[in-house]
Amino acid sequence: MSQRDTILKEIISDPELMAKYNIKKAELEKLGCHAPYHKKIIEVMATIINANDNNRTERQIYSTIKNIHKI
Amino acid sequence: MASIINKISFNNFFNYFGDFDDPSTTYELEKGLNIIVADNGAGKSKFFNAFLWLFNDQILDSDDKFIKNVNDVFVKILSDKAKNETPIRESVRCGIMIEYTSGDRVKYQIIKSFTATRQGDEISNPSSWLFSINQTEVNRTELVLPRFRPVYDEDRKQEIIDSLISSAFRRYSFLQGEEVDKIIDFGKKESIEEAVQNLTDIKKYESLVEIVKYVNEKAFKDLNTETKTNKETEERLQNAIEERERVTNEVQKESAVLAQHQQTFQDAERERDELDKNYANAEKRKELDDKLKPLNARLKDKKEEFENFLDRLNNRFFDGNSAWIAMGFETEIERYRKMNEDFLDKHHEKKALKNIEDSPNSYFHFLPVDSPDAVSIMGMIENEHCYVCDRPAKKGKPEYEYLLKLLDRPGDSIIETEFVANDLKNFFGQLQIGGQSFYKKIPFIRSSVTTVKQRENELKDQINKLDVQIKTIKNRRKDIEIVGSDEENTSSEIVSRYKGAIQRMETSRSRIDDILIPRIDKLKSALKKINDTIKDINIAQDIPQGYKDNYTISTDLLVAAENAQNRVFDEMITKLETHANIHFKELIKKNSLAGGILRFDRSPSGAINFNYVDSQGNNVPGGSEGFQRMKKFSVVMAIISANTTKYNYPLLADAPLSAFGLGFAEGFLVGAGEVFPQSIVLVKELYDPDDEEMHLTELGKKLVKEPYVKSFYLNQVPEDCEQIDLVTTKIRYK
Repeated sequence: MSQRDTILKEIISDPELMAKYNIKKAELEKLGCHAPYHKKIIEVMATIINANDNNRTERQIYSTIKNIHKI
Repeated sequence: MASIINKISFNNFFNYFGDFDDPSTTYELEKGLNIIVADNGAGKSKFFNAFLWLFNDQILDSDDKFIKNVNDVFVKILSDKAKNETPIRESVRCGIMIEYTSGDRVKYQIIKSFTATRQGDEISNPSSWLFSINQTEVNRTELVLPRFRPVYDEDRKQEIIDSLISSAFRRYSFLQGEEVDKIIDFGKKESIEEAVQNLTDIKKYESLVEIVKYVNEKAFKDLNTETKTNKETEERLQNAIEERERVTNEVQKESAVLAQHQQTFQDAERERDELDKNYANAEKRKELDDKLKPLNARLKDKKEEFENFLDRLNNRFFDGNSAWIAMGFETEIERYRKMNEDFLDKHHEKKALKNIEDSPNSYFHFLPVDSPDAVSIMGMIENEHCYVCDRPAKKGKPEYEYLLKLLDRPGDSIIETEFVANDLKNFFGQLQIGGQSFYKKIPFIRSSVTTVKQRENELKDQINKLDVQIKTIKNRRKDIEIVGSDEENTSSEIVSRYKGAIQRMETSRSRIDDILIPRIDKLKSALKKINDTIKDINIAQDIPQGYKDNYTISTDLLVAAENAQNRVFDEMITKLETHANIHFKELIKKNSLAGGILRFDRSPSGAINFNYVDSQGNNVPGGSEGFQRMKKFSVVMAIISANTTKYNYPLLADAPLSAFGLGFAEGFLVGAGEVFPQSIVLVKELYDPDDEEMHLTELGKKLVKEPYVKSFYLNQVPEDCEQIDLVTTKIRYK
């Protein structure tokens, strides 16, 4: 498992977040920073993690997030 | 890929006199535990200094315990013997060479050196030398084809040096004596945070939290921009946003005050800890000074006694009680007596002959002595007639004169006439009188010399014993001096500052815990309510779902990312605590300490307090310095063993046992052997000068046989030799 996947799982494993977004434990186990993403929240976080590793600026990252939300 | 140091060689480096290829200056080292035993002055710190030079171009001056740049102390670094043997205008090289393998394929060789050219007579004077640092040589070879090839690129050279021990882990892997105390300073918030940062991806989480925060702020603004397009809700939203800004500012302001107080607490806590250590050290130094004082006085008395004893040695030659000067003159007495008798015989003979020759009549009388008697002679003189031969003896006639001479018999009035040029009779007589007390003592001189010699040895022994006692105490005192600190505070200053620090800590703690944190929590709760209101206003509006999701998701992710960051930090702290306890148990296994546990607690400043608690959770105070150091070293070992990837660097430790006590020594060496892929430990505690077989303590001998000890050296320096002859030699026991 890559370091990015570990970080994604660690953040998403927050109990309140999992309950609110209906993320099951089995789903959490399979999480990774790559498509396909079944939930928007996971896609947003994975995008931020990948972009951060690729040294993108906050402004560039925000533009990518807006695209995910189609705004 | 673990770095393993295979070899270190010295070239005229301190006492390590000789070239790099000289076997006596080369140490072959192995993977696993390597022990180098040396008494004080036999090359422990000098060995360690090679690595200080390698990494930092510095050395630790053991005289004042300050770290100095190599080019400032090159004369000190260069071997005295090498200095002395270098003729004026000739050059000499001084350097270190280290070889290490990285993984299974590559070996590196690093040489750092300088050249010194002698200009004058005084070898210890820097102005007698011209000094130039040589370029660092770095060579590389594949292990399959072991032939070194030079590396030319300067950046690459530095990379190779740095990869021996990564600079982030150097503090845990490269330590000297009491520096263990400084590796983990639990009073310093950054100290444990740094360890956690090195061990986890916490920095990644920090940067992710910052990005999500930015995304959330932007999402908030974008959402509000969309909402404001609806005029009905604009005023309500505007009010909420303004209130949100006000409370956010308030939180920031209070957080800044909180940070200030946390800093004050942390500073006060550090000052207290520092003073604690100084105080403890000052106490220990005083205790040793108290022992030194009477010993120094006794040494002074003994030396004076010895001086007086030596002064009196002269007298023993010439006074009649000892008469040492007459030793060996046993037969001379008889010879002298005989010669003196001969002299006197000849003297008298010569004297008699001379007198007779001068006035034979004064010495030859035809009349027997006392005949006639003096009264008859006086009658004959009065009557001017000799009744012996019945003839007249008129006054003025020879007969009358003869009578007068007879009256004066037996010639008392004879004037001694000179008959030799130098009359030595009296001189020899005086010699005999003067020598009388000496020659009577001759039979006892040898036993007198033996007794005095015994006394001399006794005094020398006593002085040596005192010297050794004083030296031992001074070394112990030196061991507890704090590196780089010459601060000497009086006890009262320390106590006053100590109390002040505790008072400041309490004031800050009360402000933090009782006022600021509740106030900030209250503001944060108000902020949450405002955010909920804004969210409600936004949700009710007919704006694209993407804006709403963007804000909601980023808000939830911000909370989740912050929680994850704290969780990772706390988990690592718990992991360190667990590992530290495992190592601590191992370290104190051979000691008689009652088992408690080590616990990390967060202090009001946010720092991690490191406590030793009993089974009831009560703090166990005090403990020896060695015990305190063991606690810290167990955390260092935990940092190494809790590392998620295998630790790749060797441990280089100079005198790590100086304050541990022997009970800890074995535990430390076993523990170091297990945690580090390679350990090179320089110790004096295993040295025993009285052990004739190996000069090792029982523990030292036991360790030589242990399979986990891969190499074992004993360093030695000759006793009582001049500094210019001081050369470290070694014995390899394993």
